[in-house]
Amino acid sequence: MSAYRDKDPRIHGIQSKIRVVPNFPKPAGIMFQDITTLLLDPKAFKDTVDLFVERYKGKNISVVAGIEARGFIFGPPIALEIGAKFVPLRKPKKLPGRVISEEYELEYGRDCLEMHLGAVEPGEQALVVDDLIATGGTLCAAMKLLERVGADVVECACVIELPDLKGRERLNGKPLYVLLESH
Amino acid sequence: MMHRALIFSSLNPIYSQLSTTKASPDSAVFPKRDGAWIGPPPVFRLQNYKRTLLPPLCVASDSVANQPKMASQDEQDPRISKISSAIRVIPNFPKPGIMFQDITTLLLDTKAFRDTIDLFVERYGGKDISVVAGIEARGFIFGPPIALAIGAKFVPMRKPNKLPGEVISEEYSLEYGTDKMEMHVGAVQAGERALIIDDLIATGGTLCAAIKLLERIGAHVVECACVIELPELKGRERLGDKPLFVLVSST
Repeated sequence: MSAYRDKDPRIHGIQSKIRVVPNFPKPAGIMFQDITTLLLDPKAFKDTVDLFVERYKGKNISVVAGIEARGFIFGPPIALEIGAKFVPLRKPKKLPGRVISEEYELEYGRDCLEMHLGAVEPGEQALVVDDLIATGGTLCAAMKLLERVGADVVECACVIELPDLKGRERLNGKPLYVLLESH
Repeated sequence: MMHRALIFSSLNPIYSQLSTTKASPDSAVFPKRDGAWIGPPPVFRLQNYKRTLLPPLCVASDSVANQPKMASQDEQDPRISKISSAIRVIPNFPKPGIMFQDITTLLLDTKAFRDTIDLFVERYGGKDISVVAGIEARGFIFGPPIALAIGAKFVPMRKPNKLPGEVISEEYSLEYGTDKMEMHVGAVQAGERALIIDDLIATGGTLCAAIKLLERIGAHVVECACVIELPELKGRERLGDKPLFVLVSST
């Protein structure tokens, strides 16, 4: 599902604010979708948050989990508006105290995502938020962390999807909602 | 021994006494350079000074009077104690001997998180601040909700090689070695009024680097704002003439 396809009138303004930076972080053709230019437009940034809030408010979602670091930008405003707690999902060794870890594959090698023990209770309804879904590896690890503590992941929500990388398929049947697609 | 004291109240009684014609104490925030009032920046038309002035930090935050006793004499916003008690202290993280102030537990308390943001928004709303700069990564949690509420843009200040495109860098000292902070070129224009947000100020090194980045491109840093201050590390002094606003002081 995507607001892009639903053609909400705010989408065009949001899309026009996202900057594409070629060959970042590495050369060889990566077109990096830079959301920082969206954050420089208060109206477009607010519209972005509003589109998610309108979708998730009043749906008994008590947890918004945001993936470090750009998920920390979109997750908290959504959490605050829908009355949910915000749970940061972080790279290893950043969270103090007791954590659980989930390893996931990168193009070359592996990485790890961590969540605080006790942040989420069994049975809570959760959203996972990030700025972009590419291969879906990070979102998949995030979902696993939440499911391991007994939470129910209602949906994954991103500003941008790169559909050619088929991340949607990697979410084990969990729904994905995005505002924009970039081919 | 952990002691939390309120530095000041957001409902600062001093604000109502502020005059637009008299010189204000040095700790007040106003557009002034070399002892003389400067004109408003070309892009932003300021109707009257009162709107752009922030209340001076109350007495307890002056470096001379920075004693827990002074702080406790100030009127306490009722929201502060819940915010303070929602913050978890983790001993020996990331290294032995360090008492780490963990704000993630604050984020789990929906009312306390809301109150935290509200306290900053009440202070900065309607003051012609067009930039909220947040320091990676915990500044990314508090900065955007404040920016959205006051109608400012959010500018992430990041570790090296994270921001794509053209950046400017500022090096700063760590306990051992140095690190670098980056900001996008073109994100902020000269003359814009900016806030810098982070979860905590310790030595002030990171905040200082952030101030330099913004000043290098001609922005005016109005204030630095953090949830927590560790006053024994004297970070406030490292900010020079830049005011610091915090909700909780932890010794």
